[in-house]
Amino acid sequence: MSRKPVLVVEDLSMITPSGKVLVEHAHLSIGRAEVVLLVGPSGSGKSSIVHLLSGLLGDDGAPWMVCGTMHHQGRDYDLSLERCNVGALVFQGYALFDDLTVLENLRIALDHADHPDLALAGLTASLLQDIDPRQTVASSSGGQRQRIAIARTLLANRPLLLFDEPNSGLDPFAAQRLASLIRDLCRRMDRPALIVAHHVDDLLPLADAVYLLDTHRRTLRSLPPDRQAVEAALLALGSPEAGASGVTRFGVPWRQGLSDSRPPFQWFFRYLHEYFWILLASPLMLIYIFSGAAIVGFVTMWFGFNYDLLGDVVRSFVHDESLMGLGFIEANVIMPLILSVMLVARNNAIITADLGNRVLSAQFRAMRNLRIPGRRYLTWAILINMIAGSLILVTASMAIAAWSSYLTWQILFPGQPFELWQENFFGAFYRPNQGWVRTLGWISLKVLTSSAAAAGVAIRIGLSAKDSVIAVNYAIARSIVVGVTLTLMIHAFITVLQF
Amino acid sequence: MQDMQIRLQRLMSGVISLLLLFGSLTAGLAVIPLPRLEIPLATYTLTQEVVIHRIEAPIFILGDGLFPQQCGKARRAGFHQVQIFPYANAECHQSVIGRRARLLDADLRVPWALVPPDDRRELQDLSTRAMERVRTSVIQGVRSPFFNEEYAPVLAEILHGAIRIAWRAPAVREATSQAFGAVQQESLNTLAENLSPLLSAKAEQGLWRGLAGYTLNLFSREHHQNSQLAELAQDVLRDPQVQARLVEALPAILGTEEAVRAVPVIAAELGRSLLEDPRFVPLMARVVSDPRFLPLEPTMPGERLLTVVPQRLMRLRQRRDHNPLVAHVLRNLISGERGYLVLFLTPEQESLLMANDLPNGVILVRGKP
Repeated sequence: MSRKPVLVVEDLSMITPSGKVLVEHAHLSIGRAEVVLLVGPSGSGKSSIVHLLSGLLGDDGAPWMVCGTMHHQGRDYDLSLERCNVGALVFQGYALFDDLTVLENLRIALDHADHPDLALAGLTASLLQDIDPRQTVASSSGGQRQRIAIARTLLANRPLLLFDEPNSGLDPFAAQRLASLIRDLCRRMDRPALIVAHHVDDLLPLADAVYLLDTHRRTLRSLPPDRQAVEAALLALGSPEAGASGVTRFGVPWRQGLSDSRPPFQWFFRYLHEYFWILLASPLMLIYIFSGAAIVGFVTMWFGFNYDLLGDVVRSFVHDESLMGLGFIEANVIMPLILSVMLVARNNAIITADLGNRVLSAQFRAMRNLRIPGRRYLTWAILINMIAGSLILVTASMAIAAWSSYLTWQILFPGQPFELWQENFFGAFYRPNQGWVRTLGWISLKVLTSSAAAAGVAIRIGLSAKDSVIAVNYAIARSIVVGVTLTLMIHAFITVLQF
Repeated sequence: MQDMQIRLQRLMSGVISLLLLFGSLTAGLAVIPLPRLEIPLATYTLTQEVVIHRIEAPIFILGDGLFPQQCGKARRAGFHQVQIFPYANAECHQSVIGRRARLLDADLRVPWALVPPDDRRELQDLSTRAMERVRTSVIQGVRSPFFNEEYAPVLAEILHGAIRIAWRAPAVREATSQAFGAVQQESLNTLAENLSPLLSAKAEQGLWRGLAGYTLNLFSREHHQNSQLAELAQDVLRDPQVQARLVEALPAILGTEEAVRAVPVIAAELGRSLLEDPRFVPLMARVVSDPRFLPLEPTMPGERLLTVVPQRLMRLRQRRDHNPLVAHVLRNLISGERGYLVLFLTPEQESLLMANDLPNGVILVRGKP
């Protein structure tokens, strides 16, 4: 194998946010179509070097200190000033987008690639012959997920392939198959790969070069791709070492599914549609909201007339005015408030849980690495659905509440004509001197403002850093509490302004 | 297979969501009053010259047991015409088409005419007994020494002042002049002819008493002379012959529409004048909290009257019921504004209600003049 390097990192120094020096004045060079292993003790910072080359280091705001230069394709990068993302990374946990189908996971990478290469689609199809493009990520096996993740990374069409411990948890046979696969991909794509590995036995036979992250000298040391030499070096550093799947049924759909490149913004609509269904239009959501509206209509009318302490005669005397008052309060205050609280309580939980899990499983990092503006897509899709959804739902739920109020009134005052209820119940709502358009404006303002504010809270809390499932759970609870409190305050404030 | 199941599941969910949204849309369209052009069912012409102060009035039909049902609204259209906008339901529509309409003042005589005869008798008996009890209690109270010493002088002063102010009020002036203007001159002449011999005799007797009192008052205070005059007036009114003449003549004088309308106006003005006097409310508070009046309070019939009258007028058929006609009348009564209603009656209902002293009102004739 020729050692003419295509990527050279020189004089690299890295200091972690906590002040620990990982490497000083280190050197790394990778040749064309080479498979290079990066080994080292656990916690030595191998993944950090891979993240540096994929442009993800410090993207969570952590203050890394990096200096050095990188030469690639005739250009020099000052690593202390520039973020360099020449590498497409296959994450350790794969970070697949589990709300998308397998085909969509690949398409989204292809559509966001700087230079989409449709020829790569054929290459990826060969990796995924035993996978139905329409199947979900959840229904895919561990080996299938790994190959989907690799295929997705290939479609990003970057000069360097990066693998973060791709063979962890694989049996020796699967690990060997994976190594062969990577070797084969590098040759066929004529691109190098840098693999961070703990277990090198199965990878060494196919590796062209090995770099050891020497924690004693704080440098990158080149080793021969020889098992004994690597083990000896690792042993000297005090670290033990130790050491995949896949097969042809759906080839045609793969090729069809990845036969063209589409404009990236369509993925925004994909997420818009996804959240429209989750946040607004699912049957369970509609049943939940409409049940609440029907109960509000019933409670307002039933308790308004039954527990007025007026007595039966006086109740008839004030019937018209009472009905007018109840209709006015229901339409102006109670229904918009209950709708907003129900909407925010449910959707804030969903939004925060969804975003929190994406953060936890590094999906946003994967998106960033694949140059997918995921945060923007998701944030706007959520906001638009919350705002539009609240308007649609408040209209529908006010209709249901009014209908429920009428039925309850019929039970309370049987034999009275419908129009008597209608002209009184809506008498104040359609007050001619105030105008029903203005009234609807106030209602819309309350609902829209509270929905947007609560969605903002849910997004912010959802996107904050998470390090465990427990953290996600706490975030969900916080999102509900803050969102509902904000909703109550906004409604109270605007209602005071309204009257 | 799995793919088919997922697709089927999504399709079903979509259909259910659409059905739910369609249901809410249907419910909304069924109950929300959509802006639409209001077209009257018919235009009616007033058979008498009346000035209608309000633009809109509810229309009612009578069902079983003469229980009223609101059936839409009437709207003034020019000076002599009323447009009828009945509710859309078939009962209202057909009733409005097939019955005769009367435009009535929204006063208590209308619900009173709807009360069944047995209830009317019961209420009359009860009110007679209650009034007797009240009269007895009031007389006892008024005759009690502590009332005459502590309350009567101030109360008389307040009352006289209030009457003076109320009498000068433009609304009362207008109402009374309309009331007296509507009285037939014959009725006034008859009353004057009947009372003048009696009043002359009384005045002659009272003249000597008055002179004696006046002579005494030269050395006393003015209100003694007033009490002499008051005694003379009381003496006149106590005379059974005077009372008999008044009973004969007053129904003709007070039974006019204008007189009936003048009464609440006068009462309202008088009440307002009383309340505006800063001494009145504290004095009343003292009266009601004076433990010496406790043994004189009217009891059973008065209290029962207060609970029975609204019940008999409302005639609720079950615990929770609504009598829209009575509610409309009472609302107008309390607001002090003149209101109207239109009653659509069958010939049988009409003859029954006229026998129950339903005011004639104004008969509406379908069509334009």
